[in-house]
Amino acid sequence: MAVLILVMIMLPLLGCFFSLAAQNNKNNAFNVTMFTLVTNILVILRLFSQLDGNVDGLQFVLSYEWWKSANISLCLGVDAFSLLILLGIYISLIIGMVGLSAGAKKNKSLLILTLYFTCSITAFLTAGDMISFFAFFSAMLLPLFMLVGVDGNAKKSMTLYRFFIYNFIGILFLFGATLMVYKFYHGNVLLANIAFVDMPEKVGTLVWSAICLAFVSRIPVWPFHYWISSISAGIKNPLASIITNLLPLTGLYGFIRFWPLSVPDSIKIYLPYIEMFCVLTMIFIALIGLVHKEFLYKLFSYSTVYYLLFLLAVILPTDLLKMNIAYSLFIFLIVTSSLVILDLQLESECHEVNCGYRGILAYMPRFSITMSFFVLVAIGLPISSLFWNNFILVSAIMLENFFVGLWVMVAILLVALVLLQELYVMRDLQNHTENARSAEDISRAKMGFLMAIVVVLFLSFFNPLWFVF
Amino acid sequence: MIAETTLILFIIGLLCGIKTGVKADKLLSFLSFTAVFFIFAYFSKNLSWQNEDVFSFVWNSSPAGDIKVDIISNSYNHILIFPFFLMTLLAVGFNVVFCFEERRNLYNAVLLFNLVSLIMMITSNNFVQLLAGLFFVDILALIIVRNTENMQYYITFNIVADMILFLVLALINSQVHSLEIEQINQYKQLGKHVDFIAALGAVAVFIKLGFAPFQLNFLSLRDSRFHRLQSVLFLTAPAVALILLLKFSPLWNDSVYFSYFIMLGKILTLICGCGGLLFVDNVRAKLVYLQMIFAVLFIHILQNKGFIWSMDFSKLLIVDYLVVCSFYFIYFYSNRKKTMSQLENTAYVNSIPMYANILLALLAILLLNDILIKLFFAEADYFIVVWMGAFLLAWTNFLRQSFVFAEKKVGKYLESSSVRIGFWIMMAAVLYFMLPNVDFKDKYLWVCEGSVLVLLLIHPLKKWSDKVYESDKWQNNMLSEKLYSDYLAQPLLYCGRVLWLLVDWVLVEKFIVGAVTGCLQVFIRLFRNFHNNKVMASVVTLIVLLLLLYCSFISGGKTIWRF
Repeated sequence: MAVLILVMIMLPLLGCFFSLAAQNNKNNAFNVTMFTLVTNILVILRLFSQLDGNVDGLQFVLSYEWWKSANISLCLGVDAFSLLILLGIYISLIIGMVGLSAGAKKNKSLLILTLYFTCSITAFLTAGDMISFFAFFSAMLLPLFMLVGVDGNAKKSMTLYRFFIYNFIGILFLFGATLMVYKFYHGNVLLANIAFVDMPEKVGTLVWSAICLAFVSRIPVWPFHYWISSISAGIKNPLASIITNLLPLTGLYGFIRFWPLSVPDSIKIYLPYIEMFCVLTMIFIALIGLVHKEFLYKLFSYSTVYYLLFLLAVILPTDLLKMNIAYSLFIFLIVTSSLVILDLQLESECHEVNCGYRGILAYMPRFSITMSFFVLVAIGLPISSLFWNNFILVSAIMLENFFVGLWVMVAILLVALVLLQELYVMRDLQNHTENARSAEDISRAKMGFLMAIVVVLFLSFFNPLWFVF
Repeated sequence: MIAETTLILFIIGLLCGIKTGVKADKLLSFLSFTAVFFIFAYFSKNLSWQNEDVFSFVWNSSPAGDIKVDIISNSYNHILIFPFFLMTLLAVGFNVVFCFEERRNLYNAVLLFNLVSLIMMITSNNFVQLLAGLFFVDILALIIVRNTENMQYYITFNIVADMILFLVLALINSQVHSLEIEQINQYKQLGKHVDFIAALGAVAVFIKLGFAPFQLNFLSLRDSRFHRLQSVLFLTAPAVALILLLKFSPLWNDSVYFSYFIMLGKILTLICGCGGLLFVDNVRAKLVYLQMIFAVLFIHILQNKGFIWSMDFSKLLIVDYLVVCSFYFIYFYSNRKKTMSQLENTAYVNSIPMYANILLALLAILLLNDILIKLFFAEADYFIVVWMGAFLLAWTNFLRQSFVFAEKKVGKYLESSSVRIGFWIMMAAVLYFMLPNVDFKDKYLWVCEGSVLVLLLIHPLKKWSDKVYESDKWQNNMLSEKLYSDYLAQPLLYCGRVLWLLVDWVLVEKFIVGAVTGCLQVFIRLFRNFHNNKVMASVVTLIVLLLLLYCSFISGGKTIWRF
C-alpha cells in the first residue's frame, strides 16, 4: 500500500510529461490532466479503504535513506486527515477543470502547471519528515507564481511581486527553522518527533517563531492579506483561481502537523496574540467583504474567515478536533471551488450580454438552483457535514476563550450575510437590466456534475466518510 | 408512534415532490391531502397516549462526541405536535381546494417536509438535531415564500437569529460538555454567562416571532401571496420560536433579566401590533400585525405557566389560525386588492360564505374569550385584560372595515362544487374543535361578545383609522425599515468602507509598503553615494555603525544571539 503514495505523487509528474508532449490546440493535455486527477482519486479511495481508523499517526509509511552520512532519511505517509484533505483538493481541481472554457482547455501551460502543483501539494500532504516537508512546501510556490502570473490580473504586477516576495520570505523562515532543527537533532527529524528535539529555550522560541511565521505567510492574516486578496480576486481562470485559494490550506496544514500538543510553552504564551490577530482579521475581512462589489472578493473574505476559524481550532490544546477540522475542510474546499467556477461563468455571461449581476439568476433557473445550494452549504446550513463540525469547533473555541468564540461567530455571521446578500441580488428583479434576459443558462451536463457534487456533500451530512468501504 | 408518523409523512412528502402533469397533479394533491388527513386522524386518536417510546440511532460519531437522532414519543410531544399537524393539514387542504398553486403537490411536499422538520425539533434531545431541524425549517420557509423581491429582510433577520442560536447552543455545549438538551438543567451550576445567554436567546426568539423591533422580518413579506404568508407565520419561524422557548425553559428561568426582556418585548409588540392593525392599510401587513398581537398573548401565558405546553395552548394556537383563516376568507372572496381601502365585493355580503365567515370570526373570538377568562380568573392577571381590550379594539375595526369598504357587487365565488364541499368541510372542522370548549353559561363571555358587537357598530377609532388610510405619508413610512437601514446596515457598511480605506489602502499600501520601499530607496541611494565618495553618506554610515557598536556595548555581551 505504501507504494500507492509514491504512485499518487509520481502520476501528476508523469502527466506533466505527457501533457508536454501533447499536441497544441487540442484537448489531449486536458484529457491527460483529467485522467491523472481521477486516477489519483481512485488511489486515495483505495488507501482510505485500507486505513486503520484506530491508529494514530501516519500509516503506509514509505522510508528512503537519501544521504546516509548526513543522516537524512525521507519519509512519506498518510493518515485519515491528510487523505481527506487530498481528496478535497482533487475534487476541487476536477471542479476547476469542469469550469474551464473551451479555449482554456487547450491551454497546455495552464494544465502542465496544474499537474506540477498537484504533484507538489500531494507530496507536501504526505511528507512525514522535516526536510521533505520543507522541500515540498517551497516547491508549490513556483507553479503557483507562474499560474498567477500567466492567468492573473496582469495590471497588478507589483502586487504579484510583493505576493511572491512575501511567500518567499516565509520559505526562508522555514528553511532557517529546518536547518536549526537539523543541527540540534543531528539529522532529519520525523514530524511526529518534532517535540522531542532538544533545543535551548531561546533557540526553541526562535525556531518555533520562524515555523509559525512561515505558515502565517501562506494565510491572509492582517495586515498582509492585501496582496493575497488582490491576487485571489483578480484571477479570472477557474483552475488558477481554485489553486490560489488552496494556498492558505498549505499554511493551515503546516500548523496542523506542527502545532497540536508539541509546541513548547515558550511559544504557547503567544497564543492570545495569535488568536487576537486571527479574530481581528476575520472581522476586518468580513466587513470589507460586505462592502466590496466583486463576488470573488466576497468569496475571498468568506474563505479567509473559514481558514482562520480552522486555524483557531488547530491551535487549541487538544488533538480531538483534528477529524472535525478535516471534515469541515473537505466540504469547505469543494464548496468554495464550486462557487468560484459558478461565479466566473456568471461573470463571463454578464460580460457577454452586457449586464450586471442583479436579477440575472431569475432568467437562469438551473444556475439559480445550483448557486443557491452551494451558497446555503457555504454558510453552514445543514446540507453538509460543515454544519455540525463547525458547531463542535466553535464550541471548543468558546470553551478556551469565550470572547474569541463570540467574535468568531460575528465574523461567520457577517460572511454568511455577505454571501446571502449576493445571492439575493442575483435573484432580485428590481432595477435589473433587460439584457439579463438573454443570458444563457448553465448546460445540463455541467449542472448534472454540480448536482453530483451536491449529493456528495449531502451524503457527508449523514456520514462524512460515506465513501469508505 | 411519532417516529412512524414522521416517516410516513416524509414518504408522502417525497411522493408529492414527483413532477406530474396538471390533471395528475390535481388528483395526487387530493390523494395526498386524504392520506395526511387519515394520518392526522390516527395521530389525534392517540393524543392521550401515556407511554414513552424512544426511537434513537447514532447519526454521527467523532472523538468530540456522538451525535444521535432521537424521536421521543410521549404525550407532551403529542400535544405539542398536534396544532402544527392540524395547521399543516388545513394548509394542504386549502391548497387543494382553493387552487393557489400551479404545482399544488410540490407545495404540499414542502409543507409536509416542514412539518417533519418541526417534529424533529420537538422530539429532539440533542442540540445538533434541534439546530438541523431549525435550519431546515428556515430553508423550507424560503421555498414557501418564493418571493425574491422582498425577501432581503426576512433572509437577513432569520440568518442572524439562526447564528445567534448557533452561538448560544455552542456556548452551552462548551460549558456542559454534552450535546444532550437535558443537560441544560445543570447549566446554572456548571456554566457561565447565564444572563448573556438569556439575552441572546430572547433576541433570537423575538426575531423569529417577529416581536418589535424586529417586525420587519415578516412585514417585508407583505407582497407575498396570502396563503404563503399565512403558512410562514404559523408553521415556520414563529413555530420554531415557540419550540425553542419550551426546550430551553430552564435557561430562561435561570436568568433574572429574561422576564424583563420579555416584558419589554411584549409591551412594545402589543403597541406596535395594535397600531398596525388599526392604522395600516395593507391587508397582508395587517395580518402580520395581528400575528404580533397573538404572539404577545402566547409568550405571556407561556411565561406564566413556566414555559410548559398544554392542550390549552394547542387550542389557542388553532384558534389563532382560524382567526387568520377568517381574515383570509374575507380577502379571498373580495377583489383581493393589496389594501383594505381597495377591497370591494359585496356579492359576498349576501352570501352563505359571508355569514359562515362572520360565524367563524365570532366563534374564534368566543373560544379565545373563554380561554382567556378562565386564565384571568385563575391568576388575576391584568395583562390579559389589557391584551383582550387591545385585541378587540383592533380586530373589530378590521371586521368593520371589511364591510365598510365593500361597495360594489362584483365577483363570482363558490362556483365549483369541490370548492364548496371543501369550504364546508373546513367549517365543520372549525365547529368540531371549537364548540365543545366554550362555556356558554359564562356571563363574562357574553359581556365580551356584547362588546364585540358594540365595537362593530360604533368604533371609537374609525374616523382616525380611515383618515390615516388616506395618508400616503403614513402608509409608506416604514419606520422599522428606516431603523434597520440607518442604525444597523449603513453603519456596518460605513465600517467596512472606512476599514478598507484606512487599513488596506492608507496603512498597508501607502504606509507600510511605502515606508519599506522608501527605506530601501534611502539605503540604495546611501550606498551608491558611499561608492561615489560622497562625504555626507560616509558620515551617516559611520554614525550608524557607531550606534550599532554602542548598542552592542549596552547589551553587555549578553549571549542572546549565541546558541
